[in-house]
Amino acid sequence: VRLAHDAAAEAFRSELGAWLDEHAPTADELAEGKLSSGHLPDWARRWQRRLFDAGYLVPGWPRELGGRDASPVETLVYFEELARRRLPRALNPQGLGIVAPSVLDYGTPEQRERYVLPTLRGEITWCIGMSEPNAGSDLASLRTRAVRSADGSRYVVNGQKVWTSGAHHADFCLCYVRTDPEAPKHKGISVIVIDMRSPGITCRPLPELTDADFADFDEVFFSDVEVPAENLLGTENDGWRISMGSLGHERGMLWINQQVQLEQAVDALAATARDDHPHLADDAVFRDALATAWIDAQAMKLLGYRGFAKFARGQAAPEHSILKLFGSEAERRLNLVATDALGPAAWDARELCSAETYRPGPWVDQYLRSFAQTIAGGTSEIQRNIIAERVLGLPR
Amino acid sequence: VHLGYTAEQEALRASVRAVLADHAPPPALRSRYLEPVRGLDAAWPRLVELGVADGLELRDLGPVLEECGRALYDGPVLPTVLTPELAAAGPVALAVFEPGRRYAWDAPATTVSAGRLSGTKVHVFCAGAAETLLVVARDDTGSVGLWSVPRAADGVTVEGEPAYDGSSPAGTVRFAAPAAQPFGAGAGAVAALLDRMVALTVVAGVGAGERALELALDHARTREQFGRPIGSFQLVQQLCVQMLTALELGRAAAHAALWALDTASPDDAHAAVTLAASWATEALPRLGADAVQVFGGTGFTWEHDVGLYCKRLLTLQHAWGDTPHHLARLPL
Repeated sequence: VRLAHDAAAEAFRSELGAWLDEHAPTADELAEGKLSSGHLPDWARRWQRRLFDAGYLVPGWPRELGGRDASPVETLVYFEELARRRLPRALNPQGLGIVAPSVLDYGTPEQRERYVLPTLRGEITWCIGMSEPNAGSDLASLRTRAVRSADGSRYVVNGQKVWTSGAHHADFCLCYVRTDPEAPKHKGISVIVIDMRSPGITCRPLPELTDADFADFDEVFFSDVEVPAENLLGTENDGWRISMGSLGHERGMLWINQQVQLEQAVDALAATARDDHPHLADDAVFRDALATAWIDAQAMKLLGYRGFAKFARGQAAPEHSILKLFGSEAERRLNLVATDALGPAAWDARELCSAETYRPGPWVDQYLRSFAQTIAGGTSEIQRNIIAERVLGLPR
Repeated sequence: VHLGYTAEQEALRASVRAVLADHAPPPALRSRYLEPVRGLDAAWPRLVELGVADGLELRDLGPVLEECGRALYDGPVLPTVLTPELAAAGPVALAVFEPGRRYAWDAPATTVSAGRLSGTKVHVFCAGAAETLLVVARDDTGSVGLWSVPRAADGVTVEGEPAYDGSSPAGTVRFAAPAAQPFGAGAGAVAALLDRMVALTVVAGVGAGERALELALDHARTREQFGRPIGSFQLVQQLCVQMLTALELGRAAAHAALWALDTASPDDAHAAVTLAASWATEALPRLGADAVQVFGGTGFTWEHDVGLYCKRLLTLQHAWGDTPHHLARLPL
């Protein structure tokens, strides 16, 4: 069986490709990079604005929201094509992927006006305040407190978030806070918009495992931070429902980037073996491991398409939980194969990986960085629990 | 056969632990973590005072290296303690590997001619702290052996290699014809020395793995989510049990290798070392990754020590031969 998109979808791909040839960021701009997922340098703002104006920012949305009413299949092609060209789409994915759709779903007309278009046009950036020191996998245990002032005009926020990506650069935080400490834990949570320049906020960037000098995520401390009451998103104490909805947006497509990256990493490793480490070409153990990784990538794509078909029909797609678990573990396996295969050369951080799945760096760093995938957004252990309980229906 | 440590070995172990706690704990390591070329550290002279370089049998060095692994010690204990001859020349660094040749060392491009050594060696651990470099080279007759060169000699340059594990400082060393003295004759002597090196490297890995497991268990016992310690969840228990299995099988194989090196024929010793290394290069890096996974996001930070252990354990796969390398040498 050979899977291919139909002629209309391929026509969409050609049109998109021609546009990208002309409008994609330059190699110099891409090389300039950015400091965190909350940081939008000028080139990234201009790129997001071009996507918005051309209707390629969220293709499935209407024209006024930076889309073109594209079909689900066209949207799939869109994600494939961007990933294939290694073009970043959402430079502040929290804003584009979570905040904009959540405000569209739950916000007041004033909130939509104030936040949605500026977010889509790349004028403001966001972080999402979810995890806390004692509320990681168990998010509903969060304790950051928001108390209404006596006159009801504002909330006063106290508490701490952690793993807040991009917080030290973001303009706003979509923050999950406890507004009713007496209620059962899922029922006392609200979502408020916090201006990150408010007095009383301290961000402490946490450098990552591989880099003493690179931090995407932060600890964020709130000390008597005043937030206007009008910044409440949706209904007070109904925040848990928003969190479920927030994370559901684009879930049908999230796997594509990872799958394409996996495929590109397989290609890059094959090229490295061919060009720089010729003895690997005849190494049966290496050939076996590389072929296994290639099969992982293809299997992931096939499963992703099945899940996508259900998602596009509006059906539940347990494939997506499996894809998160399998994809993150497959990525780790492949990067470990690469570091093992390079042998002592993997040691030296100057031996760079041409796949650059995350940031430039050696294969070993790609391997260590891939740990984030088996932790962030629900650890592999939590994914296994979810699959066991919700997909297989096993008793808790 | 005695399978635990003797009272004397336990005493030495405690002394080494105390010295390393004073002079080389992870916070001190962090201050030099990003410097690939380091001079001699403060713990080394104290370890020498304890007698670690007095020509101990490998069995007695087992507890020493376990402690060095637990503390992520980055000094030249290996290879200096491997033989009395090395200890006398110490601290020393072994210059074995060459660019683009992986773990093949027995046909070096580095040469000695008229007593002058020329060539380039890579991944030379503790090159900056060593007084003496022991270099694998071939002479005019084509025979391979070890040659000794003072690190401070004219014609020797050490360049740091930025590595992912800052507890294993390594350098590229270039030899522009410094004078060299013969140190050991024949490829057989080099192979025997490398077997000792590999065995004690695995023992240090077992020590690092033991500490990584302790950190993970402590976290699993105290970190609470959903109203109970995460160590009560079976998927977390499974990770911890997998780590323990890797560690204890590695420990058993490593100590058997030390025993064999002290008492058995070179062939039997080589088989025991290769067995231990085959296990350790695969299982211990996995143990380090599992430890990070138990910690979740905290494990993914630069600040938490578990990441230092994870990176150190990963080096077992790259430093002295990977799993396929060792498997291919098992005399089956």
